[in-house]
Amino acid sequence: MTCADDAMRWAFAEGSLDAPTHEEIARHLEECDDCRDAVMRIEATRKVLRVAAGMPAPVDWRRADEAVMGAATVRAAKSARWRMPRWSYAAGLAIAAVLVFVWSPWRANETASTTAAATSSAPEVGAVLAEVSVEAADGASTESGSLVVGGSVRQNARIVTDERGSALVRLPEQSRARLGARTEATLARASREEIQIDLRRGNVVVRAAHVKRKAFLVDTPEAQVRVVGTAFRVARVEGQVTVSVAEGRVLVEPKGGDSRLVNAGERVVIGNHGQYLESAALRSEDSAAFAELGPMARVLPEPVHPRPTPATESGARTGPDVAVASASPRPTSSPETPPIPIEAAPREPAVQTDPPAIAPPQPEPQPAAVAAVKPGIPTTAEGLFLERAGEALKTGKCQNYLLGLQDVIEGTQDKGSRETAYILRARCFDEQLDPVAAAQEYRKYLQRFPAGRFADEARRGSAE
Amino acid sequence: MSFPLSAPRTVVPEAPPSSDRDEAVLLALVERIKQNDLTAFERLYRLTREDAARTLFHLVGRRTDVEDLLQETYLRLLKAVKSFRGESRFRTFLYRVCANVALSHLRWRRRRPEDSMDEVPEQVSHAAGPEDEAFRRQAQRLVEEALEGLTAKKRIVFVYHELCGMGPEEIAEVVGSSPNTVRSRLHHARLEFHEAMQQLLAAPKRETAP
Repeated sequence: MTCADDAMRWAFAEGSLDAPTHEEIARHLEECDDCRDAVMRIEATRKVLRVAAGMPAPVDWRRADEAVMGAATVRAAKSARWRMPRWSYAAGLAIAAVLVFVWSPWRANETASTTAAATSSAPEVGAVLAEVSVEAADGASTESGSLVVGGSVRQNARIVTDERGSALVRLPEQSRARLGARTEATLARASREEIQIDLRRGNVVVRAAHVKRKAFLVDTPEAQVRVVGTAFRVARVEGQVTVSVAEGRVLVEPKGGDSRLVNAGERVVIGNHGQYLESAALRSEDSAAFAELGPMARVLPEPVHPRPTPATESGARTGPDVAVASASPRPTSSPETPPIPIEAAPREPAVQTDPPAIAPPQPEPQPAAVAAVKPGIPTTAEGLFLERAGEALKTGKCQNYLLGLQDVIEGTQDKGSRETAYILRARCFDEQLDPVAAAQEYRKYLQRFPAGRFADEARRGSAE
Repeated sequence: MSFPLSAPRTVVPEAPPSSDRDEAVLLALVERIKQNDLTAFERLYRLTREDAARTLFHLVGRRTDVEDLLQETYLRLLKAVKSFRGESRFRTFLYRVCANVALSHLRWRRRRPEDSMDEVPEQVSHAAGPEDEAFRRQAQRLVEEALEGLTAKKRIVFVYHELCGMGPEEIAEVVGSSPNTVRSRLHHARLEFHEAMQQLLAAPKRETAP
């Protein structure tokens, strides 16, 4: 017989030939050294393949699970088809997490005086993780001793504040977190890419830096709060959790239960069994809490009249009490020198867990923030998302934003955001060498925005 | 005797670990997902994530974060599962989504050759036994490197057949081509992969030669 070709040799090695042909080749191999060597090489290749086939993929499952389920939950909550009945959530829910965006120069003097007093202490000795630095501390300590200004906090350090204490730390990705009185929290994850604060009691206010990161979580024993949007407040009083969102939205994730998004202008109250007791618009008390965070207050539907939190109210609290707000997408000053006033907060009364109220700032024009009170996706969150999608387009990662851009198209009430989302999707398909899909997106854009900002580009794209 | 010129008939070399009972469980979960049950989606994800991750890893290699591709895959699946009518096995459906995600990524990466060869594969340690963990890791890297030379379409067909154990008919369903097209791509992919692998396996010998 003549020598077999490579395809036949591979089929022989694979065992996929019919029996007579297999037998015939086997007999030939006994006589032909070249064919025998060739089949042995194929078998060597197949052996490597078999070994590789059984190897697990190198996956960070914690990261993967968070990415998949986090995105799926957001998507599910976004879709009305997926939204569960509001009163059917049955998991225990307690929360904490806050993003704060505070530009409050009116408190600069207080900041200076408080910081000056605090800096009289020496830096903490033996700090391991320099990335988490202490910017202000008063009555706060870790296992290794008192927190002092200029010192640092190692990852997994448990920070505890006394009845009048507080601490302000700068996280590795330039976010800041303020722990209020009677608070116990652990910096479970503190890297540039991922932040997790495990809050066991008390309250924390966070001002999140505008950086791309995998996750920013505040975790409690009952639930996680994942930062999705920009400004919200969570309070837990006598087993009832109140979540009020001033700007953006937050994702509430009861452990073992269904999750939901709480959007700007919404206020929900969750009972001690995780059931939703109330879903309504923001109240004046929410306004008061946000007012002290600065310009954020202007997004609220009610006039801002900050008032002190009654001592008797906070005295009855049994768990974490968190006021949260986060940044608008485009900060107006350098993150290195923000006039953040948190560290300047006066020492809190023993029974007060909410941040002290201050006079509201004179608001500056902020169209995006004003627009955030509209129902639907907040403009500021969209702006941030679109900005990141544009950055991803430059770095070739835009495929991860395609679904989110579609969500913006379907959910936004802002024409400009919708227009940008359309064009970004089209460009992304272009980037991925998918001209058919790109042309479809360009045509969709032209149908809706025939005289839009990117109409020329869309005409060129749809004609290709 | 004479040998046919066309690619030989192929069979599934290793049956996938997907029993009818597993398929029934997955289909039941799909029905619940269609009823907006997010917990069913999470369970389906838990049941299939390792298979999907391994497939994506073989399809795109380690220079990409599999976690990102997993997210994209399951988000696409979440959207597409509404239209899944059970005409094919769920596993086939999942692989179709994986193939689309991988294809998009490979096409994107093709435009960035500077990113595609930034790692040198480890060489095979011939002293190590076949069961040795180091050898297994090296085998994984050798396969990954040899796959780099294949075009996206050939790579998908090759990976699904040789590493996922799928037959040409099922692969044809996944990639939307005819079984004969799949066989043809598989034939050429095998030749190219084998050639690349032989070069990689011979590399240490060449280096040690006088």
